[in-house]
Parts: sequence; structure tokens; C-alpha cells
Amino acid sequence: MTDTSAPRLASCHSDAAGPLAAKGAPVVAVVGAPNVGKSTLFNSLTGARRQVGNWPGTTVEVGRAQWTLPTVADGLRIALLDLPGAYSLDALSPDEEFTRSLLMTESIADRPDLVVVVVDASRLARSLYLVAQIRESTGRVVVALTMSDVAARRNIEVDTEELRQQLGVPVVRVDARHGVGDADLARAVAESLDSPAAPPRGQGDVADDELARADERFVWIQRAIDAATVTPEHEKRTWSDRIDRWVTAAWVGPAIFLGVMWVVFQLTTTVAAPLQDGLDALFSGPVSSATSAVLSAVGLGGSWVEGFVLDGLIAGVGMLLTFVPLMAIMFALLALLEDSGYMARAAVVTDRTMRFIGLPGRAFLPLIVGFGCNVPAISATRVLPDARHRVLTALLVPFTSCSARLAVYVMLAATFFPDSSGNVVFAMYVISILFVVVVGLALRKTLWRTMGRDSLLLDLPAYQMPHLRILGVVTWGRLRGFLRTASGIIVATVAAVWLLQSIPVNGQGSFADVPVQDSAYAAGAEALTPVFAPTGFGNWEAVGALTVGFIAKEAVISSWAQTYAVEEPTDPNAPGGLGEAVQTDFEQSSGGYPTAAVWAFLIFLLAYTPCVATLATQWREIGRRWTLFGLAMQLSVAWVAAVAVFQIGRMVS
Amino acid sequence: MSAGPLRQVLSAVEGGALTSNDIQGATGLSMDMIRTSLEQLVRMGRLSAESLATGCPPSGCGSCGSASVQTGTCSAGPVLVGLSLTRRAS
Repeated sequence: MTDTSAPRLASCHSDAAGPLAAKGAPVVAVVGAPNVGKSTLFNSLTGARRQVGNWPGTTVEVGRAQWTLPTVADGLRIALLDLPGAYSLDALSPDEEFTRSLLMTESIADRPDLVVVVVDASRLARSLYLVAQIRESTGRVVVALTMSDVAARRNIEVDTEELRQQLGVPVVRVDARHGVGDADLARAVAESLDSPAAPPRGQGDVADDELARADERFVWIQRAIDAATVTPEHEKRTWSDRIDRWVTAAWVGPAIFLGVMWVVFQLTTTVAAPLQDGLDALFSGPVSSATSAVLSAVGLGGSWVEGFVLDGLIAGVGMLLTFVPLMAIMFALLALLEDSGYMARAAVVTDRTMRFIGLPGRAFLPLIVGFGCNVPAISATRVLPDARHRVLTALLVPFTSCSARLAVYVMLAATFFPDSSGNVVFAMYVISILFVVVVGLALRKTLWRTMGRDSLLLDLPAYQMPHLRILGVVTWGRLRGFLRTASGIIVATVAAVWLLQSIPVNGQGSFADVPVQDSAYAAGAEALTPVFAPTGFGNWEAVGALTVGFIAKEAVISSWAQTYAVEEPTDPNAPGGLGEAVQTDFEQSSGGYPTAAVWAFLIFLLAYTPCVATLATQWREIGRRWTLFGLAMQLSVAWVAAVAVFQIGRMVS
Repeated sequence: MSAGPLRQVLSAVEGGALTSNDIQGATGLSMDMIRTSLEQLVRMGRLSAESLATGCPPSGCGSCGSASVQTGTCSAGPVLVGLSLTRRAS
């Protein structure tokens, strides 16, 4: 790190650095890491009469002032420099580069006569590295020990005399805020200036290797700390550390994560249910009636326009909009977890899972993003440096259950499992994680047996109190995305489905006046139903909805709503509604095992292709060949899993 | 010479430690020493540090229901920092 060709700085002994003390006065530099109380000490010593300005020829700001040592008979005047904060002399910033140059690379005559290193007693290891480095070039060092009150609160006792012996330089305890220790520091500085300098610290026979030299300093620091401090038997941990011991633990951590997510889904489904019912009643009642009245008034009553608006837009998009409260609550709860810092812990839990299936730690990033939306999650695979890791992660992302699938889970769970809908939704997310693990392991055992490992250490931020404003902004941002999808791609899909449902292919109907079961939509879906017969949901309504779901998962609900609105167009206020209609069809297609069939449907919905946008992104990120492989794999896995669930469910029912 | 704190921390990371708590379990060093060692390893280029968003990345959010309107990202909350071993020429 040492740069011997660094430009020369203006000498701190000349007036080029600004008016200092009397000519020939000793120059003392105060150095230390940021936030150790260096400037507070400087102000306390000099009465805050500092001049601040850039050091000549640099952009580095240095404080200067005169310090009169009261302990010396005639009041020795010192030129005191407040150098920029530096953790070490391995310069990373211009400020640190300046400090390193002034203390290490300038000629001896141009360096300060003495260095006061401000050391934080509560974090000795962090502060002493700078001491170790400075001691290698000079013995004229005095350590000013600050933050003793903070150390005491952490039950850390520092023996200054022992520390002095270990470091080989005077150590003075100071409390600059109360002026405590200033006189002792002045005395130590005066004595040190008046005595022969101690020899610089040598590193012995350490190999000429950067790591070896740095490690020797750490050994020196550790020895000094061991000798000079008394710490409690068990290190006092912050409450953040104490929580992390549990929430990131190997087995307890995942259990807590699952518990937290269970609470999220319980709250989401419980709180949102009445709001959802209210919106449903609004769209199917007053909104439909008012729209119908307006269309009749302008002469469009009974026309295809009325059919499109009532059976298409209001039934399809309106049904989707009833999920707005549900989405809002879940987005708000997830934002709460993020803003509090818990999501960073969830990342640790996920990271362990990734390593278990042989993916590098950082693969957790795209997979966590995938639970929001698969499209950016696949883009996020770019963080992985290895191409095979990127491909494998991009193939696994579609198995993470995005928020679009949530609306379908909730609708079916509320219909088939009204007393435990939250548990069912939670189970879907657990199954989603299982899919990632099982498929990931299967691909690792077959396609990529020699994938390398990559270490990643996560430095967890401290927990914080969530901010209401941030929660609001994040929740609204995501909700707006949901509304944008509903008003854009879903409206287009609704129009396409309505068009297909208006084209007669069987019977005597005409355009926009055809029973839906005789439409092109039903005929197309009917052709696929034999494939789904073993899954228990081989009815054209469900298969049609899943087919439309290729566009976007929200479209499963809108197309179902359109289908049943067309089937029962005359009385939107009739009892039953969408849920009951779906239940009836599942009852029939499953041969009397609707519960097994709906589980099979949910599993298929979770595992098959999320949406066309995901496919397009995969195509861009991992190429056509892997995208097609992924498409075939997802459909195969989804079908096999759905068949297994239905057949086993039917047997045990 | 036996490994000092810096080498011990580096070995723990190479051995798959995931958090500072894992390193402490493997080395018995104080948290202060571990954090200082990690900072030093980053300074020396042995580890590379990067902020990791636990939400969306800033790109590719075109049709994402989770994307924030203002920043193009859905991340929120404190920043998670990932430290990776730097590949070095042997």
C-alpha cells in the first residue's frame, strides 16, 4: 500500500500550512478513527480556537490551533494539528492518504514531533491498529484513551498502566466533554517531547508479506488487550446481537422465519377478508347495475358492448381489484419486516438453504426477490459471477411463489378451506421453498455435478424502528405496480378472453351471443382437458384459466370470473358467485374429491411457468436453449406433482 | 508462527462462516476483534464488500408489481453488506 512516489506535502513545520504557534514550536498531530472523540479532545485542549482550512496543495481539511501546555512552567506553546479521521494507514481515501503521507512517508524533519493517537476504550481493537502502524515509524506517541464511560457500561475495564507497558508509550485517560485528563495529557506530551524518543516498534522476523505483517499487528493488539483489559466472561452483546443469535441460528432461524411468515399470511387473509367481500359486493352490485343502466340509457343495452363491459371488464378486472386490500396488507407487512432489518436475517436463513443445494451464498438474492416478482429476480442473477450458477438460479426462480400467485391462492383457500385459508396460503409458500430445494438438488445431481463454491459473509445491519413514511412509500409503490398490471396486461387479456368467448365454434350462436361452452375459448381449453384428467381438475374452465395464466397469474382469476359471469349473466347478485362455481366444477371433474383436486391445482399453479414476462427475461439472461429447457421442466414438474398430489389425496380421502 | 486473529478470521470465512457470530464460534475472538479484522481484510483487498438489497435490483422491474415508482427498486430498510473472498492469483 505504501506509495513512495507520493507528492511531497507542505511541511507541518513551515508557515505554508497556515499560521501556527511561534516559529520553532513543536508540532503535535492528533489522529484517530472517526467518532472516537478526536475533535472534541482537540477543542477541549485548544479552547475551540481552531483554524480550519485545506492543507496546502491538497483538498484535505486540517484543523490547526495553538495549545499552551499549562503544566510546563513557562507555558510551552504547541502547534496542534487535527488530522482527518483514519482507521489505519492503509489509505483508502484522500484523507487517509494525507495522514499516511504526513506520518510515514515525509522526511523525519517534516513530520510532526509527536503524535497523539485517540483510542476508543470501548473498541480497543479497532483503534489500536492505527497505534501499531504509527509505532512502527516513531516512538514519540501518546495515547489518549476516550470513551471510558461507554467501555464501563459494557463492563470493559482498561488498565492504563498495563496498556502503557504493552504499547511502550504513555497512555492517558481523558474525558474531553468534561475536561477530565487534559492536564495529564499535557504533562505526558511535555515529558515525551523532553525525553529521547522510544525506538520504533519492530515486526521481528515476519515474512515480507502484507497479510503476515498485518496479522503480526493483530497479534500485538490482541496481546495488549488481553493484558490490559478485564472483560466479562461472556462478552456483553447488543440486543441486536442477542436477537441475531436466535434468528440466524441454523435450525431455530428457519423455524422463526416460517413463524414470521405464517403470522404475515394469517394477518393478511384475516384482515383483508371483510374488505374483499365489501369490494366484491360493490363490483357485482352497484357498479354492475349502474354501468348496465348507463349503457341501456345510451342504447347499448343487450349489445356486445354491454357484454364486454359487464362480463369482461367488470367481472374480470373488477374481481382482480377486490384483491387490492389483500395485496396492500401483505406489502405493508413485508415492508415492515424489511425496514426493521429482519429481512436481512431472512437472507441468512435463505443463504444456508442455497449452500445446502450447492448454490453460492449470494444466489439467495434473486430467490428472495422472486417472492415479489420473478422478472426482476431473473435479472438479479447477474450478481452471480459463474455462468452455471446463473443458469441454475434462473431455472429455480420460477418456483419461488410471486405475489401474483397469492391472489389465486387466497381465492381458492377461502373457497375450499374457509376456516384455515391463512394456513393454506402459508403452506403454499413452504411448498415453494421445497420446490426450489428439491429441483435445485435434482439439477445439481444431474446437470452440474462439479459446481464450485463461493464464500459470502453477511454483515448484518442493526435492527431499527420502522419508519411510517418509508412503509407508506414502499407499500404504495408495490400496490401501484399491481394496479398497473391490472389496468394494462390484464385488461388486454380480458379483452382477448372475451373475444375468444364470443366466437362460436359449436351450436347455433353468433358473435357475442354464444353460450361460453360453445365458444372458441371453451373448445381450445376442452382439447387440453384430457392431459389434466389425472390431476382431478380436468374441466375446461380450470384448464382455460391456467392457459390464460401463462400471460400473467392474475389472469387466472379474471378469466374464471369472465367464464362464470358469461355462464350466469342474468343475475350477478345470485347466491354463490365465483367461488361456488369453481367448487362445483372441481367436484365434478375430480369424481367427488374436490379437496385433493384443488390442492393439485394449487401445486400446478405454483410450479408451472409464471408468466410470459418471466420467459422473455429468461430468454434474455440465459438464452433460448435453457429457457425452453426450463419451460419443459416446469410444466413436467408441475404436472407430475399435481398428479401425485391428487392421486395420493384421493386415496387417503 | 501460529495464525493471529487476522488469519483466523480469514480462515473462518474461507471455511464457510456466514455471519460474525459464526466466526466467533469458530475462533473465540471478541466481536470487536472480528469486526476490526474484517475491516482490515477489506482494506487489504482480501475481501470485497458490497451492499446487498434484499428487495428488487434497480433493473428489470418493467412489469414487476413489486417495483418502487420513485427509485426503481423495492428494497427498504437497513443495508445488508456482503463480504466475499477476493480471488487472488496464486
